[in-house]
Amino acid sequence: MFADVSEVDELVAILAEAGPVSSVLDLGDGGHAQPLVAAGYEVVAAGPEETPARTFDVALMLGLVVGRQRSDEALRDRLRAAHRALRPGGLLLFDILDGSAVLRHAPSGQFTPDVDGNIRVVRCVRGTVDVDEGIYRVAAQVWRLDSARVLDRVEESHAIRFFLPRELELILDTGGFRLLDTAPAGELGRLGWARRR
Amino acid sequence: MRYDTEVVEPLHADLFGPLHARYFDIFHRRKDYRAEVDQLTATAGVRPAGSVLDLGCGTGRHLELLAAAGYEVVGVDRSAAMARRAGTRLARFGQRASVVEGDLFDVTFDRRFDLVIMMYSLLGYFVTSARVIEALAAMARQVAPDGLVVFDVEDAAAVLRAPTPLSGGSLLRDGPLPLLFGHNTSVNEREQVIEIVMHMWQIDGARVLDHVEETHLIRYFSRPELRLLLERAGLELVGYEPLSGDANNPSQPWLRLVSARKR
Repeated sequence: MFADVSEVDELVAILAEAGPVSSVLDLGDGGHAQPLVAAGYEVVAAGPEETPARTFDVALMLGLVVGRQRSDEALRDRLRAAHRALRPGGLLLFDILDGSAVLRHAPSGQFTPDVDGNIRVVRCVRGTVDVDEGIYRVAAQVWRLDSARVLDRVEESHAIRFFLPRELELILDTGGFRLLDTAPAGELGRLGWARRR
Repeated sequence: MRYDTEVVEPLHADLFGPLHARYFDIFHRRKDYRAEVDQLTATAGVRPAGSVLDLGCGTGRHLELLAAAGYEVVGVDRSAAMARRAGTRLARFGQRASVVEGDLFDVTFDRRFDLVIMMYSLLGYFVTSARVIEALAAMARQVAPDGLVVFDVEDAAAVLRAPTPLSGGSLLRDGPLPLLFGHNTSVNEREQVIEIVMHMWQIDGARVLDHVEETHLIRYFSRPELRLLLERAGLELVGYEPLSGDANNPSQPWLRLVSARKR
């Protein structure tokens, strides 16, 4: 997909700069914490409904979790959960779709007919920008074909909200966080980090 | 974000002084005020005898058309030169029109208006969310419970997708004296603002009579972002439409007319 923004080296660098970090809570989709474990951090995973019994130095919301929330209210709830789970001064690390990048040059389509042995893996991706709602919709079909047959076909679609810089700052502020900085991550993404007040 | 209130407000402190005010109507000569005012009144659905407050009224062009259509109008502008010009323009409407020189954050009226407007993308000049919310709250304070708040903003999608920012200069001859005028306009994505550095020299033959340099930082907005900002000011987004009178880029208008009511 266009929106793969996990940048492991960057993450490790930000955590190293954040000072001594002894506890990390993963509030994301779970797929992004493994490299941090490999880098020596203790990472605890929690689902959206779970309230951990302790507080953490760092919370991760990766996998575009922030932009996948269906409403302002749902997004605020997620941020509140992160706020509760962090110690005062703790760090929230997240990734988002960069609104400026999406509005300027989000692709409207992509086609990759990759070859894997004698199997073709064909990905057809369609992207549309919903300016009114601030959402980038991506629909993908992945076909696996050999010379004679369709082996399988998978469809997936994502609707991900994108954020302008001051919009992001405002939303974090509403959730009790002060945005510290962001860095480019992938083609359309940014990695951001914010301090819990 | 580096452009916080401490950076923005000193830069904007002296905008729209006497020289700019004198040429303001010439700069905006292609602006279709009639279309804007028609859109304003249609959006607001205000009865013809209703009342309108214009925060940042400039030279009073919107108010002039509204007053002529029967509305009772009040304008506010921080620039003494602008307020004076608006006052002169509206004098013929007598009691039905007045202009106050003052800062929209401070000025209060012991009455409510059916419609409160803020045009010329003034809201974007406040740049920071904290200040934008205060400006929206100032509008909310003065609007009647069933009234409407209407303002125009630069639209993020239109600004970011614009092919090339508009910069340029020329000698304007249709003023009281020729004016050499130019601006460099760019989009600063990181700060989410349009930056305009503007120069004006008033020329009389070989003599330079006056020179002004102004920096305008104008935030652009997305619709979802305005929804959040309005909410923080006790308002609710009702409409977000292209502005009819936007004459700078007729093929791809940058401005949106935003309407909101009390929550």
